[in-house]
Amino acid sequence: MFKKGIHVLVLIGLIAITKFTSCKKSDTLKNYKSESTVEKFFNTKTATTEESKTIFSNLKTENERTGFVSDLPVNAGYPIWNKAITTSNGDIIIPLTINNQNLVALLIAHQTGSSYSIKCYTKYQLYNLCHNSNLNTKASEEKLFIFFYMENRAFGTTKFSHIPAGLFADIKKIDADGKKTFTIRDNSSNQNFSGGSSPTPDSYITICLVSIHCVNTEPCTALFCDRCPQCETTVCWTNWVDDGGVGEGDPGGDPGPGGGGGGGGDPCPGSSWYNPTPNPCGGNGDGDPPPVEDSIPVPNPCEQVDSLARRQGIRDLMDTLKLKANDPNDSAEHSYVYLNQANAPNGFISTSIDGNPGSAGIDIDVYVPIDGFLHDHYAGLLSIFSADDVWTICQLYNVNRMVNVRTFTGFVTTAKGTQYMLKVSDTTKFKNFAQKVTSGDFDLYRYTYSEILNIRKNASNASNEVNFLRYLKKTDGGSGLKLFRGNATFTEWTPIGLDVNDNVVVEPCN
Amino acid sequence: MKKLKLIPIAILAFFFTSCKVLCQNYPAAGQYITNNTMGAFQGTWQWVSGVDTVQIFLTVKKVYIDINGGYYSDAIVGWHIYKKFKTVVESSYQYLNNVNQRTYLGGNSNNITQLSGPFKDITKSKSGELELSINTTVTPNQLIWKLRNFEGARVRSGGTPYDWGFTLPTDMVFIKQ
Repeated sequence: MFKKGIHVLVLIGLIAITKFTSCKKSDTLKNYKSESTVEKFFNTKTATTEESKTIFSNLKTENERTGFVSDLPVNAGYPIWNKAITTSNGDIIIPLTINNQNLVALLIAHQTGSSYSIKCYTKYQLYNLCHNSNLNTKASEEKLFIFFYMENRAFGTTKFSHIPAGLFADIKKIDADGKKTFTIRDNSSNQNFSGGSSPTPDSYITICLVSIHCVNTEPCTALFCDRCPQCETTVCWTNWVDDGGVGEGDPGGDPGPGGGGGGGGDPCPGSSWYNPTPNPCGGNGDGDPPPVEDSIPVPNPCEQVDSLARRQGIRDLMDTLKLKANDPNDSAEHSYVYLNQANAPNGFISTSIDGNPGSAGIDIDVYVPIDGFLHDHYAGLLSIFSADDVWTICQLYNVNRMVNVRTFTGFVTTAKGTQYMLKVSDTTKFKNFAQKVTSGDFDLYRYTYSEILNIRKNASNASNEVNFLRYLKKTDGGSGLKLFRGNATFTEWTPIGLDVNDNVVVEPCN
Repeated sequence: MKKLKLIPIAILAFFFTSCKVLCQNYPAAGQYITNNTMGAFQGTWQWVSGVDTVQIFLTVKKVYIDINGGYYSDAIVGWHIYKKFKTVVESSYQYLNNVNQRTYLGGNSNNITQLSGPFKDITKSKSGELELSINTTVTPNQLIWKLRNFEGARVRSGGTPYDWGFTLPTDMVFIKQ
């Protein structure tokens, strides 16, 4: 009888071990990676001309070689192949859209030999460029022109609003919102014109934007205001463009919802900024994005994390933090905040911020929206995010310092050998949670976190993990945050949650 | 023999995958979490060093925690006064027994002889993590005070850098009054 009892115990133990280890080994994010993004990206529907078919084919080959599509910013959208152009410097510019109504980003491919260098420039990056406190007027205006041109080419859009007053100095008219509005004069102004010496006269394109001054003063009286020549100011941009005879007309088939993998890009300002109609994002009228747009679904957090794990540059930052966390002589927390920038080395720029030695905290002054916050916990600190770390993620949202709440990444690596990521998986819940956590008596959350849920420095990693999941799942109806557990090299991330009995389980993204 | 060696592993593995062992129950709305082990911390405690005096009054209260629909928890609630000579540097003593105006909220769920929880630095408008360990082996009893910054990031957008210091000393030994 006793022997039988031993067998039962051994069996239970082995089942438990098997269950635990099998989850860890097999249920990694790679299993949830969808190939649909690439398939949607290379949708032949809009590759309707010989030129666009060639571009399509070349980039498809390039993707098979480098997998660049999965590194594109989330919600960058899908190409309208037959609206691509080639610029004077050989760049192929391909408009990307999500809803087939406006641009979200431009894909810029430059051929060198048999390979391409691929860059993606989102409208959100354009927004940041044009709203930078150290405004680069020339670069901003030039990029705006390209976006205006591509927006017009792909969708026939002619009117652009909410342009910062500091741009296009020749145009004096300021709207009631303190911004400027332009109109592409008409189709005839947007066609090729002769000029210059190379390569062929009709390869030039000029985009002229008109600002109409309805000042109701002489010589533009009320009766002659609209289209009165004195009431118009025109600015033009000229560049050599080979549109490759890719055809005009219908932008093509439905590119489908969603976007590429990776972090960055904001579908809200990305699709609405400089649109003259009321900004669907709300905000202050210049396209300044609110942190949450509930109507837009969250891009699959598992795919996002999977993509992030493949970015060597990001993993290098994580490695650096891990080394610092394990340095016995280092008693300060360290962190990086990063911002995805398609043109930057590794696709992002980052800033390191060090904490106060011995104080187990980091004071982060963030003056621009960021895509992620990575930090470490040195020996003796928590094995998981602290209550204050979660508060910080909430506060970044509250003060509009997330480029995109749906793609923002929080990360921690600890001297206890753990590494976790946090992503927003439910924006509605997160919005409510962030509002409540940051507006009430936060000491009550701290008390609940440590005294009630027992998330502590001296608790085991497993205990802290399960109780942290309870904090995320149950506090104020749910945080809307999803937790990922990483391996030691940051290459594999497992989405974890709680089952109905509050046991930790692998929890795939929906 | 090999099977016998597996027994502890099996038991450990079973328990480490069991929520009942690891999970703390998340209080439901209206729930009351009682704790009758904190009586020794109650009363007035005082620290004196040169011209500096800190006094703290601790008592057990049923505290309403406005999270998740609101629940109640027995907790140690405290108020303090900090003087240099006869000048009050900061004080919450005027709010004595007003739980909402407390400057300390602690519990001993981790260690029955040690409280931990948030302490409000009135002057700096911040909270720190205060651990109060009781020593009942001496008479009068002692209370060892360790005040630290809470672990975690503080984000701001411009403004004043975070003040890592505290108005009160961070390490003191109080005597029961």
